[in-house]
Amino acid sequence: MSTHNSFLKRFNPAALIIYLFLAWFIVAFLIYPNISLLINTFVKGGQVSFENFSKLFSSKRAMMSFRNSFLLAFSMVVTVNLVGTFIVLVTEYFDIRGARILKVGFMSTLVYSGIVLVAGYQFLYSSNGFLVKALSGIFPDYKAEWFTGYSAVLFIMTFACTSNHMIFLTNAIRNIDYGTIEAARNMGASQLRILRTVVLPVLKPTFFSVTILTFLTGLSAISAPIVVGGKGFQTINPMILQFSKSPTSREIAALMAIILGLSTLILLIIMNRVEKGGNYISISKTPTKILKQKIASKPVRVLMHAVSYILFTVYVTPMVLVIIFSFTNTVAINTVDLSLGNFSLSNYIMLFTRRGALDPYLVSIVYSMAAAVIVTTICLMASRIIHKGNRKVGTLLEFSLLIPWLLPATLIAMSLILTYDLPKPIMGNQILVGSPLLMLFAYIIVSLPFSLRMLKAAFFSLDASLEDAAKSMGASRFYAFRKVVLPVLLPTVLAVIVLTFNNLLGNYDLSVFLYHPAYKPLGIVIKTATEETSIGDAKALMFIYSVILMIISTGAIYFFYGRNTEKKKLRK
Amino acid sequence: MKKKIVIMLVFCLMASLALFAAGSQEGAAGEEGGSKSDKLVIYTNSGSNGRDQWLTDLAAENGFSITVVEGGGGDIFNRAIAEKNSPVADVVFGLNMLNFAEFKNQDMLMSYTPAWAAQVDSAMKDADGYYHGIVKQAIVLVYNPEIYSEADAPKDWPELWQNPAFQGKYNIFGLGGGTSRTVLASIAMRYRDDNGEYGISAEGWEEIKQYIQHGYMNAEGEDYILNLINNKIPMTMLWGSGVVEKQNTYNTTLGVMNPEVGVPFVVEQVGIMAKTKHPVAAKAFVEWFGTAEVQAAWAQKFGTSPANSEAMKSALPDAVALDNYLTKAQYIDWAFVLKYVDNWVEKIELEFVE
Amino acid sequence: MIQFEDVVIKYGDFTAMHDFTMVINEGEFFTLLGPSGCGKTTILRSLAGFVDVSSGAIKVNGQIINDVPTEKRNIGIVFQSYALFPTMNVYDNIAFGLKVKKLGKSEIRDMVLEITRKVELGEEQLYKNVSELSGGQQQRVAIARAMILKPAILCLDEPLSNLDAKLRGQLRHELKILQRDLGITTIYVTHDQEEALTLSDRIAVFNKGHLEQVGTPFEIYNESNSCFVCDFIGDINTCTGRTIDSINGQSEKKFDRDKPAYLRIERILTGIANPGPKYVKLRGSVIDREYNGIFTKYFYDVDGEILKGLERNIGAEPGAVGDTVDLFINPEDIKQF
Repeated sequence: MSTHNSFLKRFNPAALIIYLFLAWFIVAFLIYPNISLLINTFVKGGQVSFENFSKLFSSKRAMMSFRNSFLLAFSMVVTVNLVGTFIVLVTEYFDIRGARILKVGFMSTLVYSGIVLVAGYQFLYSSNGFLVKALSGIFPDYKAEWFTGYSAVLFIMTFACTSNHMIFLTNAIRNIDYGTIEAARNMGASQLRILRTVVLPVLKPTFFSVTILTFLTGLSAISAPIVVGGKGFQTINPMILQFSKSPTSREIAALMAIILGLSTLILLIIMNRVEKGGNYISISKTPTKILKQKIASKPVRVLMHAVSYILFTVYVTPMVLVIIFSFTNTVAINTVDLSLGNFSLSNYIMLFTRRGALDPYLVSIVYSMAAAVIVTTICLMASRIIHKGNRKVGTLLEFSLLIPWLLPATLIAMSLILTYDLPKPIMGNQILVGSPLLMLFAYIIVSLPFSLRMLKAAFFSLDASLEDAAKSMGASRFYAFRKVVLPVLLPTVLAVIVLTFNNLLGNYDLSVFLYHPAYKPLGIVIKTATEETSIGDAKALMFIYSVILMIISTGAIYFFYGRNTEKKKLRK
Repeated sequence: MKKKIVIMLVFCLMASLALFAAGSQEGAAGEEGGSKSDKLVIYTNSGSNGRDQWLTDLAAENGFSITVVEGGGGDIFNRAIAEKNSPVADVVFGLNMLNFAEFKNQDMLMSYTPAWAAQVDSAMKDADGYYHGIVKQAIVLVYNPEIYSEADAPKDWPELWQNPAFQGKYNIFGLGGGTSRTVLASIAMRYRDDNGEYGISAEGWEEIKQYIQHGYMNAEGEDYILNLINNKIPMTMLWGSGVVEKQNTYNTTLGVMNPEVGVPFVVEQVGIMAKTKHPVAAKAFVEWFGTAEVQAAWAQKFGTSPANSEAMKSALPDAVALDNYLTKAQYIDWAFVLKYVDNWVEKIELEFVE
Repeated sequence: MIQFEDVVIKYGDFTAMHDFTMVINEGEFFTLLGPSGCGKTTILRSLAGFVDVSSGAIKVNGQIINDVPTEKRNIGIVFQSYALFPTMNVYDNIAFGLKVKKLGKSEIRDMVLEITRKVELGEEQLYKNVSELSGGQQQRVAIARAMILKPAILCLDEPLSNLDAKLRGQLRHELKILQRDLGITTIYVTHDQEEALTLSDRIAVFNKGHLEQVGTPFEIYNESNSCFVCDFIGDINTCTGRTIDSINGQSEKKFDRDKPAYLRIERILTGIANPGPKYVKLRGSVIDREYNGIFTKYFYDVDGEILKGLERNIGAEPGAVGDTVDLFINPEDIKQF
């Protein structure tokens, strides 16, 4: 009787619909296609083949690449956290002169992802790039090969991957109760001690999330090793990507992806365990807004300023160079020739006056934005369940939604095509191949893990009694969520939307398989125009597209994020 | 803030609806057979830099309504294969013979012989009429003529690793691409052994290993032409139209190796998907697209060498000159290459690349 | 009337509250008292509907509410952290419940202004962000927000714990008056026994998930029925072995020397010759004293055991360390369990 009643109490049609929707979504898009692809790959004629295990494990190169991937991932956890924390501290916590300008520089990686990053870093750091040219001008014996291998890859990846710190750690620091800092200082704690024992522990949940993301980014690094890894430091993911594109080698690609995936999984399980060990929620009734800390010791202050501005230069240089050289041509870029005669607007004019030239922008913006909003909505629902619902359901949900982390984009696209090229009951017998929705679904799928990870962290640092309070005042679960929880989470939600949008904007790997003939996305245009074998001013076009992507991304950040935080400041 | 969210939600809803509506519309079209004016979807890897737009416009002038889906060669190929149960494409062009042979293997193509096929050399098209060559691309080794005189330069691919003077001096493209695979095919053809691993003799594998390990593989974005000019890596593989283009771009001259066995040609093909819902339009389009007139216009506009011998006569002078220089085509058994090339690449990537 | 009947609350395998039964009367100021971790907040949360009871029934006015969702229970809550919505200003916080009910704008406005006056919150505070308020003001907002819905029951979860002593005293008094005026059944959770004794009509004392005792403040203090309640409420002497022996020697009432005996410190009489026939006399020497103006608290060494006693300030100089004093104890005041 009692259980029956509590079922009735819990029975809520809206909740049921959400649960059913999530279950359908996970089965239809994450489990069914991927499992059938893996079965297709590994089971040949009713038998599981093991031949590829020995092929893979006897390949010295593959093993080295694995080793390098892990080495990079672990190294990055250290370096990215160091640099990321440093830049957040100097822009948010310590009183550093010119913090606003510094911040703009450090934020540049937000608009500077994917192909833009590759273009910029190739230009700046490759063996016939700008840096080598510049340095060999100063030091005649400078060796071009200096910037290559492990340290070069680590250097690039470190500075390319601090976006998450910049957004999420900044949010977290702003939410620190200043009272706790004052109290600690009152008890005679030094600045370093306060930072270590009061400030950083409060940031723990955020550190967890960004550390996991950093580790995964390191593990799946592609561009940096290709550009500057050289023979000595190649990682596994470029190999997976290449093999996944060949039907014969897809098996090995899947195998490598699974090995990477399993280690990712182990990491996630460990991290989830540790994370449960304790999060700190502000228990203060009257949190006060954080004030910037003056650095007492002069040498330290000078040092901090110096390091800040050096980092600023590192961050901004590739972007500035890309912008400058986007007005030149391929040869000028390749020879790093800044003579005035090389500058012209002709490429820009050609790109924008071509008929239909604006369509891909529109397509990519619509797709990316729709996917970003939908994926964030899905992950909000899921995070809510993981946070408050049945624990087993939550764990299942969480790991299901992280599946896309375990597989390379090519395989995800393939699995969707191979599954939904024929009517399947789970999709209402609709064929998805040839439908414009297919690419939208794929965009949503690949964005799930990131979105979930960040939103989940936000939920766990939320004061649970806010929702209880709303309910006690008669608000339904949905009303409480909409009016109370969501507004509190909004900064994170918007950040997740923007980052997802920016990530998808120039997507090529998925799009090329899935895009609808009538809606050609930007990534396709960019990639084909800038491909080695394409005719025309390939490198220069790459730079121009990079600049355009940066402009769109900046616009998105401003629309969602900049104005929002500014308004808050004004109100205060 | 609230307003902004509402705007976003409405926007997304509308976008999704629009996409969905577009999808269902697409499905509704297509009676059996159809007419010449049916909308066609064309897959190609040669659509960049306005080529898709140029073709769409020209086709429209001639009464065809086409939409071009473009992407990298390997990607378009994989996409077409994956979609074979319900193909989006009606016509595919630009992919090479290897790709088309695979399509044919998987029964994805329709046999159709357009009138212009007679003007294409039989080595450059399918004997059963499933696909026909439109653009040919010689795959060559180019070198810095200031470093090597014509007499000093290598005469054939094996010299590169067999002659210590050339070791480490030549550039190999990534093995995912068509150019690099064609060179590999050209080398592999010489060591064919049906009892060997993946159809290649043990000696052949040793040679291939030498080829890979003595070569330099350019990093992505690294300018190998600049490397060649600066004498860092004075030789590289290159595709035919690239020779012309790079000479113009860098304002330099490149030496071109012309082996006695001939140069391997990659021939871009055109074919019709068997499951197309618009066979009438598709056939009419192919019939029109391959004509000497259209191919010549394409060649003049984009500097290619048409497979159509009539059209070749009106290609750009540089292309004609190169075509006249590289007279002999190396014989390559594409069926053999098709069967094994993925395994070769896999083996090389896993075992030989360092 | 609220009834807890054989209620057990479990979190997974952990039993947060063992089987207990308890009745709270209409209009009562009822306090749940106990050290932290004793289960008192859990009971509050089960009444509010945030936690499901594992067995037993919670009834309000005779109706079982176990399966009524929180939002339908009409119970107002003031949270320990106040849980004011940081994204809303004071007005919107207070009006939240009314907006949920979809009342008209002007009606909401009137009600907000009325409750604001009642909790003595300045009208100029209404459009401030909640983070700009002082602790006391935040508490008033939290109370106003809960009260505006005219709940049948008001729950307060340690509402005064984060405030300074003086403000706490003042707000405590206001809270009592407000409750009396509104006549609302109020359940108050605290670990502060002084707060419990001064505010409550009745108190329930909890320890480690068990209900120890329910009673008026007088009963809880004077008729404590367990070691724990004795210890937890007020200041008490714990007598053992030798002291019990010397009491047993003089008294008809005998105590078990192997168990502790409890005696409230203010029940030890000093400074008089002979209070009455029932009293037993012990000799103690002053080893320490705490003078607070109204009382002096003495620490006596009685045969090696320390007893505490209180002396009211009657204008005389307090006794000095080393003085030997007669301590009179009525054996009826001693409790043993």
